[in-house]
Amino acid sequence: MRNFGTLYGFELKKLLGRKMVWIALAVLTAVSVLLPATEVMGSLYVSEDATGQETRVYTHYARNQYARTDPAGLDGRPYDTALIQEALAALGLAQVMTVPAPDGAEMTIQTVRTPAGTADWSMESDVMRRQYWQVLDTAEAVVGAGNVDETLTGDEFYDALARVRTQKYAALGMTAAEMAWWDARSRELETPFPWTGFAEGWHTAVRTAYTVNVLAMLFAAIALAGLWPQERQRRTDALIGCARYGKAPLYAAKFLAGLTVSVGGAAVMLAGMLGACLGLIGPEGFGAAVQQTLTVTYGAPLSIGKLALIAYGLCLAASAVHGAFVMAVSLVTRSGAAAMAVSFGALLLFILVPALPSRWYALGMLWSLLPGILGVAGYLDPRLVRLGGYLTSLQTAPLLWLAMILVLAALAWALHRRVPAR
Amino acid sequence: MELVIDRLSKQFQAKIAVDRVSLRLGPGVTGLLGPNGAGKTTLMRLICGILKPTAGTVAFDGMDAGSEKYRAALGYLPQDFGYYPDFTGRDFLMYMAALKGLSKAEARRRCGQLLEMVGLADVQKKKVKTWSGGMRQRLGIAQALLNDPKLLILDEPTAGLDPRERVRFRELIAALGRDSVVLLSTHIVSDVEHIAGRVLIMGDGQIVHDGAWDAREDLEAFYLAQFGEEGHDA
Repeated sequence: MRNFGTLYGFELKKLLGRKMVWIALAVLTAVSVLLPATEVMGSLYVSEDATGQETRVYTHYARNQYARTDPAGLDGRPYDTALIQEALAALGLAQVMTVPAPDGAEMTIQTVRTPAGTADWSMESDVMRRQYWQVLDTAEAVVGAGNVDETLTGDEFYDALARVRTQKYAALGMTAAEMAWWDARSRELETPFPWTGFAEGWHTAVRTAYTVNVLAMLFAAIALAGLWPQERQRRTDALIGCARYGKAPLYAAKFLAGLTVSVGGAAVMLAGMLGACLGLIGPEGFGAAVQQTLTVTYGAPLSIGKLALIAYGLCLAASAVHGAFVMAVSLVTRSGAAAMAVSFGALLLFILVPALPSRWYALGMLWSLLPGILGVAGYLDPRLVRLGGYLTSLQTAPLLWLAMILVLAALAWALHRRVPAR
Repeated sequence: MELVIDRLSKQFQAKIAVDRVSLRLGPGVTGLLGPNGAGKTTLMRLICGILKPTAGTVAFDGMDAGSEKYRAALGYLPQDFGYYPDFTGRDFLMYMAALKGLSKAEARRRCGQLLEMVGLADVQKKKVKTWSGGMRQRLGIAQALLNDPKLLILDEPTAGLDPRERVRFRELIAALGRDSVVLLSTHIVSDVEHIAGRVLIMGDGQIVHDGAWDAREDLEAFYLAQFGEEGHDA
């Protein structure tokens, strides 16, 4: 069909023939692998009380391997009174602390016991403590620090969770209809929700997806900024511009090749990162609820493994938008260096302004859905978009991005056809 | 088979590069001469549809210069064209063939023929960046002929070629002119003298001479007479 496949192949060859593309991909993929790997790098050293000499207790890799065996046996347990009280008993409410109260006075709280000396430290006890701490952290996130004690029951926890959710929705300025939509979804949640013993690999995969998003933006800027300007610099634009398929068919082939390289680069980085997350940290816990691992107030059933796959899918989609953006800017500026500078500027802007004030409801929401912004917080943002029915951010983002790609492609085409060859 | 140029003008800010040029070119080689800055290259780029005219039209057998059909009939060798450093000579021609609408099988056959014709068959698998200027120029000529163009626009086609190659390509251009419209711009007056049946001379964006040429006449002397002292660089 108008030699589209052949032209697409040659455009890919042009892009992939550049050493800079491979160097950038190698470096950024190495960063993608190293980031999750740092979770299991290094060791824990404890200072001996008497001598002050540091002793290595365990390596983080060994601790992680041990944690994967779920030594506390929490996997599959319901998150209820028994589990909360077991965690309290295991950690012990040994210490009493006086802390400033919200009204300015002082209040006394009980805290869990922390290891007092070297004798308390061992890999086995540390892993168990971490497992139980997570149980109590979840309770604290709902009932508040200082309210987790021997009297707390599972029913109280779930009642408080429903209240906290409603307060959160109200604080975000959500309508009654939106709240009712979430209430209906939250009734689908299993209560008490099942606890998972270990899900660190998938948890890290979700947390690091945003980093790949940023790296994919960098890669797109490096790989694609020169796509059109180089034709001008090399003076090949006159040759291709007067060829039969040198206008729209070549533009489409070039644009698609650019998107392919952008998405392909992101896919390589994601594969490296996911491989490191699951290979080095562990693939267990795919089905762990996001309420346990990320946001306890999230009002719909969703597992951390599914969220990781969705996040990676979104990252691939975002990389297509990054690619389209860089190509459009390169056509506007007619300069590879300028296109790269604008792309890096946009990247910095997204990092420096991760969110807009909540009083700008629609603008803030739109900002949070931008492909350079959407991260862990955005995935589980309860704000809804009304499009036919209600859509969550995970459903709205790909639709918005598809529209952005189409608009950028049309804008770039409008500019491209008007720009004369050199 | 006719190229019709009607009151064609191109203005770049305050400079009028091509000024109300009207021409009808039929089959055969037409030579285009003129001093630097006369507007020859701009006129050729307008004919190729690379530049949009400020006013006027260009059509070939009724097809507008902006149309795909027009470009399908067109072969163009720019004065100064680029290449893709990591492409081999064959890659470059196959790419250009795809752009010109040839099927893969047709492209393979035509590339083989043209690489033989321009004497690059033995280096076709080497990257173009390793080639000499003359070899690249021959590659440029080959790409212009890929689609058997009925309208061939050649801007300095023999620049960079050694004398023996120049004569060979001059004969090739003359042969192409038998059943195509060929517009040949060059600073080498003798090339035009030998193969052009008609000569156009441009000055300040306008056609200052348009007429048939008898190879027995001294074109260089005629050309210099048009521009006096200023015509030396033609």
